[in-house]
Amino acid sequence: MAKEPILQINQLLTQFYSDGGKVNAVNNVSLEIREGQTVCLVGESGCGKSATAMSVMGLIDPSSGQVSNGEVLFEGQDLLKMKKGDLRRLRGKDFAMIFQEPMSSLNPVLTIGEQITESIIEHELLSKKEAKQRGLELINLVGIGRGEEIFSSYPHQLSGGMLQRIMIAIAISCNPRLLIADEPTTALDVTIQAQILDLLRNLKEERNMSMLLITHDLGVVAEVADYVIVMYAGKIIEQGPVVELFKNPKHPYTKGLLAAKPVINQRREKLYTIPGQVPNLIDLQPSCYFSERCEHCMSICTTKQPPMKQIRDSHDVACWLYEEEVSV
Amino acid sequence: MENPPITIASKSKAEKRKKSSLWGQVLQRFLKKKIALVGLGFLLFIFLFSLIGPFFSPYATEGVNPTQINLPPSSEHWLGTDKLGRDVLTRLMFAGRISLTVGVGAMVLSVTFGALLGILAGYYKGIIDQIVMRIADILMTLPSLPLLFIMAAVMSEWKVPTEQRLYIVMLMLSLVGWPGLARLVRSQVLSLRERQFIQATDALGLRDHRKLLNHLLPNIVPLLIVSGTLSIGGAILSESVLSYFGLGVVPPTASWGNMINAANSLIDFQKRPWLWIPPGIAIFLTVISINLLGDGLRDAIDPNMKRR
Amino acid sequence: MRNYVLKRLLYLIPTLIGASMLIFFLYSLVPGNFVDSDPNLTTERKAELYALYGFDQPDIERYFIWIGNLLQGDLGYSLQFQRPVTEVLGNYIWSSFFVALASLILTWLIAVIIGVVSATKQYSFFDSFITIIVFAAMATPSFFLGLILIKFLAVDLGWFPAGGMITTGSNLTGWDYVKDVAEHMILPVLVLTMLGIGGLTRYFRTNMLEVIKQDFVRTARAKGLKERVVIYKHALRNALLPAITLFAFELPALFSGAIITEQIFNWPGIGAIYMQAFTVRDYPLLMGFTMFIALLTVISNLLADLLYGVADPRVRLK
Repeated sequence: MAKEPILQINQLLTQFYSDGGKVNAVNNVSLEIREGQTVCLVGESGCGKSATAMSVMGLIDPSSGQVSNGEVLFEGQDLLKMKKGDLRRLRGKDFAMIFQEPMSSLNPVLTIGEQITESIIEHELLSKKEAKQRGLELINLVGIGRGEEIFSSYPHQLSGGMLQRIMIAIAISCNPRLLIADEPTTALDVTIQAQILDLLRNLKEERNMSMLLITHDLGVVAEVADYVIVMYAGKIIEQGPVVELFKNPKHPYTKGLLAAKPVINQRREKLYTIPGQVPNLIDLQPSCYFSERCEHCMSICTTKQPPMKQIRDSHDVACWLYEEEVSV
Repeated sequence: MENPPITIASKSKAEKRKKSSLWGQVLQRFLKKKIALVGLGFLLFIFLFSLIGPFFSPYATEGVNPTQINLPPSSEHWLGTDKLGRDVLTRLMFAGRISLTVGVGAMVLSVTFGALLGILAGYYKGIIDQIVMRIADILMTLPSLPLLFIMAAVMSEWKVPTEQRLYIVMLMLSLVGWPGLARLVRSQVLSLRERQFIQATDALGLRDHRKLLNHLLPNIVPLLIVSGTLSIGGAILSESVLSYFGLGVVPPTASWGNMINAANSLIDFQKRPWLWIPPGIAIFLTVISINLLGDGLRDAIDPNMKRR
Repeated sequence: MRNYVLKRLLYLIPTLIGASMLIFFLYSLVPGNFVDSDPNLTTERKAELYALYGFDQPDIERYFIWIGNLLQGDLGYSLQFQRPVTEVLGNYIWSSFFVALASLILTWLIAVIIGVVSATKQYSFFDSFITIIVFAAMATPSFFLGLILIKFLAVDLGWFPAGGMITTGSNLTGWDYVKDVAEHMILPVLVLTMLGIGGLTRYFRTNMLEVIKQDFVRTARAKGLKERVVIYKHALRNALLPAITLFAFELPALFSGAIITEQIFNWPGIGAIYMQAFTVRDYPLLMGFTMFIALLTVISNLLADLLYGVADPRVRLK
């Protein structure tokens, strides 16, 4: 526990512009990732997981949104206050990111080799030849043979799984200390998913990286996470160590998520689903955003936002149920 | 269970958003486009100027007045007079009627041909598609300007009466205009065919003409509106070129293009710019307004293009 | 690849036949013929030409005679120049070509730069300004723009020569000659550039905006590449690819655009010759020129496809 946080996010507010005004895609989110730790960010699509990652990377498209408030401390430095050029020099070097769609995430008109080496050449003063050497090693490292052949081929010639391996190779090419993976396996076949997850886990161990893994797949979470953060409608509603959270979920939404996950030995007549839909972020009033779908909804839930409450060691939840439990 | 009013409020708001119709949303988006509204305003002005303007003019169309020839602009004749003593401003209005008529007429014709042939080609595929698209290919292989010139020359050789040339010009313009539109419509229809709701009409066993009119046509109307609007501008430009070179609408019928023809006389060109600059500006303003309007419509109709 | 080229070449034939039929039968709608309407021809010469072009035959057979001659490279005999049409076209095409080429290069250079800059600074002042200029360029009739430029820049201010290719009566040689021609070229090239630049700039802007939103551009940024590299290496390449096809479309369009500019600026190229041919109804020349443009369009399209194939790895390797 003595390990320093490598990434610390404080009260992050990221807004997107829409016809109906600004939308809080990331609403007052605070979290931290320690050295060597794998943190999973879980939630339904549109809950602000990816927006959180993009805010950290400084890649929110300025024509569609902005980071309006908060701090993103990477090894103590606030990325949000950094000059654009300085941030760029860290990006891809000290922290790197891989994306959901490997097929479209690589440039179709450049060779794989070109795309691997260009970030090495950009960040580390290596010659083209040395960069190529490193590139070939990386291709090997992510588990693809025929390095030379792959090096000179174009993205459309490779399969999705191979492309995601290439994306991983690019991301780790400059030995980053933090790897952000945004749904890295969602677009892939199930068999490939497991391989990619293994690869990520091994690389993380070998290189002592920290990892922020974004996913909606609880199976993935159970597999790799040390610590889990559950987001709903732009807010963190519960967070805790993976075993604790799976065993002892507090928030009705987390409980729902876990109940909705089919478990092989416990077939039920009907799969559990959480009723209702994710609320439209434009219409939100001060309330618990999950209240409309919650079976335990109380009157306070619809008028006031629940604060974050520590339940146990590093297990927090934002829910009025537990607030009252304590006050009673 | 308590049901606090806030939830109701937020729900009804969401419902309201859903209720506003598709075209209502298009209108809302369109009204946000200031520059397109400016275009629309200008266009209305030009239409009114040409259609109603002459009624406010003290001068008759062919008001030849030998005592007042080649006068520079003055308070009496705002844009001066020409070599026959006709008031240039009044002539500009009448010319506007012709140019706008040609533009709109050519648009209606090419949209009709283009849409009809495009739908048939895209819907029936096979041999009809082959024939239509081959003809379109051939017409697009020949650049429009030389093609228009040939047709205009043929028209002149056949000694078409001057007052009817206007309609022939419309027909010519639509002949070079339809292939591009037919291609657009065809590809749209081809992709619509693959969509479920059209396949559902197959399952329902609807007749072809009902499928085409009730299900396919409404889906290409937005495309037709946008391309149609933009094609008016192109038609007006082409007409002006033809008429400037004496191959389109010819005097005594005035069009903006043939008014610029005055620039072919050296003395009018150098000393009497009021004869040929105003019609050029009229063409410019009309076409730019049409293009701004069409562009705004495109953005309003196609929400995917909204942020562009 | 070779099969593909062959297939494409075969595919061209029906289109060209169709175009030739269209051209021929449009002209055959014209009453009379150029032999009858030429008072300078002797009776023997008339009979000779009648036999040569088959004017005594029905239209269908005349078409085949025309096509037969066409395939042998004979486009007919120009009434106005009293020379074979091919020779007339050959004489005048180069001066048109230089103007077309200069304007093509200028158009593309400006369109790419402006399109890219205004796409990367979407909604900025520059972007709005460019959008307005582009709309203005697309709404101005080119002949009117030409007239305005001549009136104000050439006649009133005397900055440029008003027309022609060389200063009348001058006897310049060598470098001075080149300079003189270049000065005369400026205004026609400018007008021809204005003609094409609006559409192309818009095309690039839209393309760039499209490409910039792609995932791989995000990846390039996430790698920490310089914004310049992201835009010019990653985005621009992808935005330029589809434009290769446009490049080929441009050339024939420029030749037909030359009809207007050459007429206005009195530039001795095939466009001006074409317009003169209209006034004297020199149909063999008109038909020859139109067929030449059709051929140019078809070949350019083929070239465009092939170029695209070479440039885009996704197509190249199939």
